[in-house]
Amino acid sequence: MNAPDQNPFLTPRDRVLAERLDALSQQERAEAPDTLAARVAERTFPLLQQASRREALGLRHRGLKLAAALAAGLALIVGTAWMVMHRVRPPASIVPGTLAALEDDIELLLSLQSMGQDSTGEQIDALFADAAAVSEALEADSLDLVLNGDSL
Amino acid sequence: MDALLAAARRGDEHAWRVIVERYARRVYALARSRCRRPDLAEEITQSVFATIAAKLPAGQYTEQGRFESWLFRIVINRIRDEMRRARVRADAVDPAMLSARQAQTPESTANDLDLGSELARLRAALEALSESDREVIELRHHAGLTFRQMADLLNEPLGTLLARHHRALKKLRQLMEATERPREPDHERT
Repeated sequence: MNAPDQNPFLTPRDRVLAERLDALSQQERAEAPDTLAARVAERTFPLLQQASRREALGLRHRGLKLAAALAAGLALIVGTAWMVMHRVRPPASIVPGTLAALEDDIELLLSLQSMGQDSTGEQIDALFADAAAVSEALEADSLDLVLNGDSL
Repeated sequence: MDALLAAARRGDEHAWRVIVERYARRVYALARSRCRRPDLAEEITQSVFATIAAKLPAGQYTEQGRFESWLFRIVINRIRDEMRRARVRADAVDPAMLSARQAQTPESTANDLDLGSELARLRAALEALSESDREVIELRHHAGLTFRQMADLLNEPLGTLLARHHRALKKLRQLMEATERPREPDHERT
């Protein structure tokens, strides 16, 4: 037998047959080409090398990812600790003041805008009024000339 | 063996050569016994070690101390694929057909004469066994696995496997006896 263990169920006749099978397998192993192992090793080694390099590279990438994750975690912890130690309050406490200032600014801008719009309107109205006055004066002058029969 | 595998995993050429040297003939013998074609057996051997080379560094061999079971599982799967592809099936045949079949086997001419008539008959009888019986015998005798390794590989309880091996040998013996030519009694020679 090739393997060291035995099958306890075998009869003596079975054992003889098993020995013959071992002899047959030895014959077939011996018939393998002499250079078989060398050729197979030579042809498959580049694959092993390639896989080995890929794995090493993968491990390096995994290491970098892990280092980056650790650094991010550390930065978060240090930042939180610093804020706690320096009693930095969250931005919520300054919101009302900021909002009030913002409201004032908006009101100022709106008033300025409305003022600007009013003065322009008034100026246009004044222009229209002036134009109408000039027109009326001209019409009155031409009527006087016709009624009075004055000639130039 | 674990040290060799660890070195090979790191891309050590010497370790890889030792591993291939140690197992190539066993893989070849099993493949050849099943396919009966030396060229195909060599192709299967190379393909198996190519698979091992690709999987070993990637950590796909996780069954520490069970390298042989892992290796021969790959061999068996590769052989099954090849058999499926080639549609070569070792179906059981009527013992009466065995002699005729022996004559028809492609390698039963020169090679079998070299093996000797006894081993040639054994070879022919083996080919007449069912796929399942033949697998057990070939794993045991051609691949040289222990019964424990075979149980691991085939995922069967050890007791079941021992019984299967016994049954397969019994069938093989019956096939051999059926083809044995009856000897002429001594008194008839005179």
